[in-house]
Amino acid sequence: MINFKRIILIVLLFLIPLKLILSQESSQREKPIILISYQMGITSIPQEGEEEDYRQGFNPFPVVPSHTVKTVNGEIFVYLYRNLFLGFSLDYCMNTRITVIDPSDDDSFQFNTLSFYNYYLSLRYKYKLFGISSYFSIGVGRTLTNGAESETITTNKGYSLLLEKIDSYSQMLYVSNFGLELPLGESIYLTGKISYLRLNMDKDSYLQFLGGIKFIILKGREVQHE
Amino acid sequence: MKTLNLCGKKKRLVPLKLIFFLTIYLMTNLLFSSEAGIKKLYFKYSNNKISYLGEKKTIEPPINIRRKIGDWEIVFEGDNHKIIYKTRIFDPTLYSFDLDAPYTSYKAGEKQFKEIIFSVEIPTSIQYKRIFFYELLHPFSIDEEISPVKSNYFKKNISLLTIKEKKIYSPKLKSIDSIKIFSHQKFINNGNDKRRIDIVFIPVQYSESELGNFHKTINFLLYDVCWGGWEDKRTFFDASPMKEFKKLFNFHYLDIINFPMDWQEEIACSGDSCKEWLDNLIKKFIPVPPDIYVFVVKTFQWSSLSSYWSIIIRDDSCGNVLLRAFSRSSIGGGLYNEFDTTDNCKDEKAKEIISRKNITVFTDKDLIPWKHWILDSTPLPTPNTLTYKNTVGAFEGGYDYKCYYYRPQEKCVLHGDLWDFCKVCREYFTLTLLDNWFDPYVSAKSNVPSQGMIIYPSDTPFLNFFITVDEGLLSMLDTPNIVWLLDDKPIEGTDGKRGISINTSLLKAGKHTVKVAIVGEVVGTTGFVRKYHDNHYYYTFPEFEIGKGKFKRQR
Repeated sequence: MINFKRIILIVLLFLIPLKLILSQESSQREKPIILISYQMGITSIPQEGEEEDYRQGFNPFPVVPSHTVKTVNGEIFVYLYRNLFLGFSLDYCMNTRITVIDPSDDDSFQFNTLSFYNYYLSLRYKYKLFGISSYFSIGVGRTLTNGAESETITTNKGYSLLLEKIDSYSQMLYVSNFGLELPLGESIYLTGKISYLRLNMDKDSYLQFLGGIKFIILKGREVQHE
Repeated sequence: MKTLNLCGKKKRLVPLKLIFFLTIYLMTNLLFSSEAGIKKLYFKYSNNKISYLGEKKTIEPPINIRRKIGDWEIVFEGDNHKIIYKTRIFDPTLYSFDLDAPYTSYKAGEKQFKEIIFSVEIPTSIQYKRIFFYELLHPFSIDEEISPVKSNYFKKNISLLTIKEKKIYSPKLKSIDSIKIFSHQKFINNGNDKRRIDIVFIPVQYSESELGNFHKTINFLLYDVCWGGWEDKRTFFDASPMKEFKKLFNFHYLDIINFPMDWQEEIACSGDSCKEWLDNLIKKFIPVPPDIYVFVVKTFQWSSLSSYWSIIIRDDSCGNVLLRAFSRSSIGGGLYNEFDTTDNCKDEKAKEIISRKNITVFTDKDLIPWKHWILDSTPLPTPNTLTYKNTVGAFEGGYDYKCYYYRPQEKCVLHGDLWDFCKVCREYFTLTLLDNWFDPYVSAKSNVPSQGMIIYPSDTPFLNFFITVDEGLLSMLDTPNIVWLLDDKPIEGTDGKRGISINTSLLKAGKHTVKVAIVGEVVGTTGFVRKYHDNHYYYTFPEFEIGKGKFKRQR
């Protein structure tokens, strides 16, 4: 089902920076002051649990296999000094349906993983790598996992299984990114990045691959230092 | 006669001719309407269709047929009523009774006959427009003859007949309407009506002033001397197996006046429909339908008459008459009477070839149902002499005849004797009670949650089951033991225990049932029961479901 509200919002979010870009005079060489980017991609979630953890009646599905979840991202960065930028990033990692298996009898069932948000502040350093504009950043923030109501389901072999209730919870998040930018116009870039996300509580780490468009929405004249 | 004087001439108010014809009409009406008889409707069943032959016998069906081929329900439908008959159709192609070929080979759909003629007897007063035939399909068993129609029977519509015949139906409901129920008394109360045999005494044709006599009769039937003589005073409950099974019974009586003798005719019911009518009538006083109705009557041709749900007993009968009636009802498994009053041994046509429960026509030991009681040294047939006074054998006389039929012992309540049941009848009675009414002897409890709730080992690590078994029951079985079963498989190490605990984490996910079986392993040593139908008496705990477990969803 098409969500028109969401489409309109996305279009508007793209139009605003475009408007700002077009309204600027760009005859002189200028430095970007404020940048925003929209990216999409995937977040890779590693396997959780081992078969050895199986316990009849208590932990019948010990392994949640590795999987990827679709991710959308939005960022805003502000020029700080020389090649340094300070930014705020927000990821939304959607849920996905995965199958888990009971190793004792090959019984299985499918469930929707929990969706989650990442939001963090990061410090970005821009540099040229083999002539290509690239950047490296580190950040810190939080990750918020959405909760779910308890539910009794029937496994493929007809047994009852209780999906426990989970309250929303958040934990610390440490992020490092490496990204590339390819200019499409004076103020528009094609961008892509790889992120490494480390969760404090779960001791889990994810890899994230995102790609999208970056806009410069505010430029400043370059100051010549004597 | 009252006359009027008109124009100086005496003229009768009603002409004499009219009076004469009216009288003739009334007398004719009276003569025919008072014939509250039974009429027979004849039908032909062939190729799965039924056709109506009329009320006259066109073909004489053999009358000595005793092999049933189906239980049928026949519904006579009128404008505003339905009358339901449950009847049996017998196979006319078979004249001999083959003991080794039980009824099961004649299940519906496997009928081995082409055509049968059968009749249905109904009161002449019944009005009907259409007749429905349903075949009640169920697995047959030999001992089912007197059992009530079970709920798991299902119907197969055979055919529908529309008969144009229409009779004038004028029910005399006046006497039924005058029935009044004053009160209800549960004078022997052993608890939950649903799990006990509930027997209700109903006074028939008693007026309000006569109810005292009704109470005396009940007291006399159950507690006063009548059998064993004055010097050996015993009550109804002193006779085995009533003594051992006393706690199975709840006895009630209802103070009813003007209950008519011919109530079944008046409401035009038969079999189960009569019981339903009665159940409904007394529902206000006894909400759970009773198992047996005992109609206490003031005059009756015989001292007692039993069907599977009712007993008619004369008010001057003794306790042993009531006991005999019980043993012939569903409680006792429908034992046969062992009277040997008719000495017309040449009346071959009226005889049946039967060999079951307590009556047989055979003297070959292998064909006698109670052969496990007969010693090899006992002659068959057994002479009725002092030597064999307490011996089980095959004594000639029973089932109303002096000859042809054989009974197990010389004396028995079923034979009209004042003493106890013979060993064979007592065994049959006991086993019927055990088979059908076992629950009161075992009380059980467990922590199994209410139905529909799923058990997760993390919440309920153990399920506990306990039983309390009545010692009286255990004393009736040889080498009694208690065996616990999980999903019909014995649980190791639990034999003889009165309580067990099951670790739920060791159970596979899914539905499970725990049963406890009371087992009497050795056959033939007790004097009470020598042959078990099924030597396991089960108590089944409510079914429970073990969940696969719990699962914590993740990102």
